[in-house]
Amino acid sequence: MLQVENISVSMKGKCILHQFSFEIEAGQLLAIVGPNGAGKSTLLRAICGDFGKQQLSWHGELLHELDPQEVAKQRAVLTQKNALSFDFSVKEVVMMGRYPYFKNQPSKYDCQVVQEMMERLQVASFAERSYHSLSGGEQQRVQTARVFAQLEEAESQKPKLLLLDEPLNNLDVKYQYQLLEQLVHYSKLGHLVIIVMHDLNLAAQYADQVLLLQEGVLKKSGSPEEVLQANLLEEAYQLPVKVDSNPYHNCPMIFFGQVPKRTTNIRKLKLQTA
Amino acid sequence: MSKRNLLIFFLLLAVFVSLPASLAMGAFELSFLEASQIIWSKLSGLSFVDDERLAAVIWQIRLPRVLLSLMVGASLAISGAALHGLFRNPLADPSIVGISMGAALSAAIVIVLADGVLAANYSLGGISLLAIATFLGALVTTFLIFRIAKEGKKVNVMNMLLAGIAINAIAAAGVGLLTFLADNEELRTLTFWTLGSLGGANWLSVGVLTISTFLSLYFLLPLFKSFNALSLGEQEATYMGVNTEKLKLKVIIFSALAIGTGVAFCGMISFVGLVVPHIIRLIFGGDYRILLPTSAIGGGLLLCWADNLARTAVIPAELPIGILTALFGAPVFLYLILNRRKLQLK
Repeated sequence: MLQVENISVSMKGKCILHQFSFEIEAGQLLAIVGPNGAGKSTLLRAICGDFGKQQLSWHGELLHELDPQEVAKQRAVLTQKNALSFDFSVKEVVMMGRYPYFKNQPSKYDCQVVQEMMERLQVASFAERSYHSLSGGEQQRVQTARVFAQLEEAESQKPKLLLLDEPLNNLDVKYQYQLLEQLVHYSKLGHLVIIVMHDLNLAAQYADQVLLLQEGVLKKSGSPEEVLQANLLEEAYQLPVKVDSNPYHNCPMIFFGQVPKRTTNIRKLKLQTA
Repeated sequence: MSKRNLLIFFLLLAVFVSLPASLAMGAFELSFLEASQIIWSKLSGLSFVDDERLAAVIWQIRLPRVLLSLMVGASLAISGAALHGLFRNPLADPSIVGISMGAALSAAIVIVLADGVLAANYSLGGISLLAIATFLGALVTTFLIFRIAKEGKKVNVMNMLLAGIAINAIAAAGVGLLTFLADNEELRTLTFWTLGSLGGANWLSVGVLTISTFLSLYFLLPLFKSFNALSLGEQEATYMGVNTEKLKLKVIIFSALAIGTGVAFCGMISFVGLVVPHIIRLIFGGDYRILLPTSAIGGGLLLCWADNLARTAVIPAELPIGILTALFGAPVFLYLILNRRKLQLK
């Protein structure tokens, strides 16, 4: 269970997160949503412990009191930055995820994990290629494989904490879908996955819990049905919102923007004729 | 054998071939075989070399010089590689981050203000005043840069790079002023010092450099994982369990030690720290597991052959070695940049 108590973050006198508290059981996928500048990434970084000693406990242990190497085995983070200052092969980048586990020479198991994660994220076919030669989406998948590799521990039953800041960036629809499926699967193994994301419909479809942020304050937390409501979203995004139910999945479906008059008429007409 | 070990093996082999080959070169010519024989006779204690004078030339003059070139080259190159990794910037080089210029300023102070005679004759335990002052100059500059870049408990790497550039400019102005004040004799000493020379090699300097080089190697080589992780970003490296503050401290201390001692005994030798890690990176990729050890050996080799040329090209005079490292290194570097696509991983 992750417990966050009274986290406040301010930068240059501006308060970005204000007395933020929540707790969540492992085995779920939590989506953090909200407009730009609401403090989503800051919240994620606060959970990573970037702002000094905060009241953050993971399964009863305060994260900042643990050895950094140990923390790295329990918690992996994918940030939005995926540029590398020097060039490496894809395989070497994924191997970096195994660094907390070996001293000088990767073990057989480390190599196995790297191979497995490259296959999982479908980057194994270009394992030897230079990272700099990849497209944005491919780089994103390589980085995702790296964070997955970082949490794989032999014969460990410990629940892990996986934090991803907009992991769907640069991915096409197919890979977005695949990644979310994989993350749901990973969370069902008993781990906690926290994702910062923009696409509310994907959040509605895949998340177990949603946190809606507005100007550094928690506006609403709960299941997608509880959080993704038209009035809450309208306030947060300052935009007209319609919420319907998804015809194919058992979740809400969100439409943004002014609905043009003509289409409403057509829809009404259709309804009337029907 | 892994790619890394194979590479290290071949580079070390090149060093072992270069050693007697370099000893054979010089005003006093002898063959590769004779040079090897003299070394062997000294090491084994058996005397089967007739010419004592020749043996002395080899043992007292050439061997220390060749060993010194290997050590200085290695320490400059590994510090260069470490600084690139720390600053996450391919242009970070001892001469760009201000450490060498700080050393140059204190050297210039000694040469010009403390007079050439004093500089040459006054010594502490056999090490000249000039060397000691230069070493201290390098350390003080490094400390200054580190201090300026400190924000609370953390060190801001970008500020460190910028502070280095500013300190570099100030020190360069100081050197310029001293150049203006210098008389002809001092001017000549100063100019040659800034171009570097291994001419002052003796067993004492070899000893000091061996200690500092191996200390730096011992502490920098195991950091390969941290350097690799750092190329993802400082924050990202922290998430992987790297203690970045400790890493910064280690890199700064040991590169200052390596550069400081090198500059103290040989003057400013530019370009080795910048170009050797780059050449290796362009050919074998950015993995620091390969880059750190091969840079060290490669740097030693480059300086060894540059020095061979420096002392044989215009016998009986000597070319300043700084000219040759730039002349050697830069074209290779340019070639690699131009052919980057072909060379890189598929």
